[in-house]
Amino acid sequence: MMKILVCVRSVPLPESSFRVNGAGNFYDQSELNSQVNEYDLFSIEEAVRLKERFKDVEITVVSVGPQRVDLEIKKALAQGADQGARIDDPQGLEKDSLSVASLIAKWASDKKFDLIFCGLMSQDLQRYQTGPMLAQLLSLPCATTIVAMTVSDDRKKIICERELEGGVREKVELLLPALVSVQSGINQPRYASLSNVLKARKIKIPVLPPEPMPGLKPGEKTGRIYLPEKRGKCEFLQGGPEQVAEALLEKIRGKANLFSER
Amino acid sequence: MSGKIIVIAEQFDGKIKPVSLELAGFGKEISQTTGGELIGVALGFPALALAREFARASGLKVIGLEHPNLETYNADSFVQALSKFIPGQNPDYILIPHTAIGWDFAPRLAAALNGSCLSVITGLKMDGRLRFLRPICSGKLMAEVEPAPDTVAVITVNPGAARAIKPDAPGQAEFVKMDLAETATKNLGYTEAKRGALDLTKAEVIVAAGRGLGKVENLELVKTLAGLFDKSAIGASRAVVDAGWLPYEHQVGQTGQTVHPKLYLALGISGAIQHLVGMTQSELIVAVNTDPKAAIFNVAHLGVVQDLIKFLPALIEKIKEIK
Ligand SMILES: Cc1cc2nc3c(=O)[nH]c(=O)nc-3n(C[C@H](O)[C@H](O)[C@H](O)COP(=O)(O)OP(=O)(O)OC[C@H]3O[C@@H](n4cnc5c(N)ncnc54)[C@H](O)[C@@H]3O)c2cc1C
Repeated sequence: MMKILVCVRSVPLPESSFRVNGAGNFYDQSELNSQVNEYDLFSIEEAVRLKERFKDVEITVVSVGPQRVDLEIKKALAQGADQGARIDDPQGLEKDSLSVASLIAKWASDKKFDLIFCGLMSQDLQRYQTGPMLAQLLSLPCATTIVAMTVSDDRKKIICERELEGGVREKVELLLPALVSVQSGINQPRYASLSNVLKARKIKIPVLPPEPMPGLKPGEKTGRIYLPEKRGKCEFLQGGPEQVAEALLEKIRGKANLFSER
Repeated sequence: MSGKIIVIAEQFDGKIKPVSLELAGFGKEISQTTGGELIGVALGFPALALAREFARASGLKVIGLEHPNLETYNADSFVQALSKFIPGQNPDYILIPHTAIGWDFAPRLAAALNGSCLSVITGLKMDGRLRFLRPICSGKLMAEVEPAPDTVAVITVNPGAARAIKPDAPGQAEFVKMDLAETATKNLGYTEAKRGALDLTKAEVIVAAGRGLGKVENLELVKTLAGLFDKSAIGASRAVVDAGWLPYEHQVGQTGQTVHPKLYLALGISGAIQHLVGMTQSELIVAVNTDPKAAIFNVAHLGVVQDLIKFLPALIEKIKEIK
């Protein structure tokens, strides 16, 4: 039996209108609709493909956060994971990556997962940290930013392709157990089938106490969150489509001779 | 803590990458406010030549860390070597480029040192104490972060966050041989993606398609529009390439091409920092997006808050009229 863990984060829809919270140290989380972090969807898909290939594979999805993140765990289950677990930390979504990695590490340390998936980053906090930190805390080899992967037939190792800058790929072999963090483009995640959605609804998600790794101090501190200053001045063109199209063309034509006007 | 600032250069194929000099420039900005000493580090095999090259180009004193396992990048070996070397230096700040190599080992190094990892840092701010800036929520918000008290800060600095350092004189270089254990990670080498025929840098107008187009069929609108301009090309966000709507050769951004056309039309592109680094140098940036808060408007000169599906046909008609 191959045991796979997929770490999943609940994130606000990226098109949300974000406001700063009262304390000024996070975005206001009330009234935001959530989704599974997009990079984690690629992870789940990759895990499900392994299950389709090797059959005797068990996929567990874990998420750190308050009760509402159960919604995202359910979505992951509907995509094909077998069981879920929620580390019940009401502040889990705001915490620094090292603290989050520490909670997952403590819980996972005696579970003997063969392969752990994380998304390369979260769409909201964009830190790129939790995956590699978790690997370090569990003393696992790790490859981030993978855009292709193959587990060997004997399931003793995994060969990953990491995407570097400028179209260069790095091929790296990890002995299992290992952790990988997944970059977009590795696959096209499937849509959950209706029967899977119904099945997922019935799965009970165990609630686990938040226990950190002993002796670990928290890492980064967030002081303030604010709206970015605009770099230039953006001039917004107002009106209906035709009006705006006309106004835009005037501006573009003034700028340079870009059309071959006949 | 000693106030020291360690600058870890990135190398590829035995050559120091230019991003390392920006990193040293960022280090200099920190040192100008804290007075901390700047020290360069280069990992490799052999390490002295690398250390010399970085010392010459940056003007910093550079220490090479040498071991056969460091010849090409190996996350385990990097973390091993640095966790041995760093404590003796007792730095306040460790700077690493925010690249696919940097963000691969920096968080692990921070965890190994029980330090604070500050990633994707695009700037710094001094008000009483140093704070570091990171864009979050697709660039719609900024976060000001700092290390937890009494921890070393492992900082990954985004490319473009600082100017390359200008050395007054070449720095000293030395190297130490490291004693490293074997690892469960093996680097099997590098391949280069097949470059398509499309060189976006030659285009004067780039009509760039984003996920906001909704579906692949709507690309026809983008193609028609691009066809109406001289010397134009079709660009794309990564989301569009990942979805298979357009091949990789169209991708603009950190992992695509860097462009600076006369006119860049961003159609349904949110303005994630990884996209912006590839196109903010364009002369005139026009963004069309239904979301008035989209980060693309922070860099655009002209903004159009409209649904592409209605707006593009109108724009195409108007251009046809004047042609
Ligand atoms: C390591 C790394 C490297 C990356 N490299 C790159 C890179 O090189 N290039 C790149 O582009 N990205 C890159 N990315 C991805 C980047 O973070 C974003 O995910 C990506 O740029 C998003 O593409 P998008 O703007 O098209 O899609 P989205 O972010 O989904 O934005 C779609 C936009 O369309 C708007 N929209 C929706 N419907 C309409 C409509 N009907 N009319 C008008 N507007 C509409 C929405 O408001 C939204 O703003 C990278 C990410 C990582 C982690």
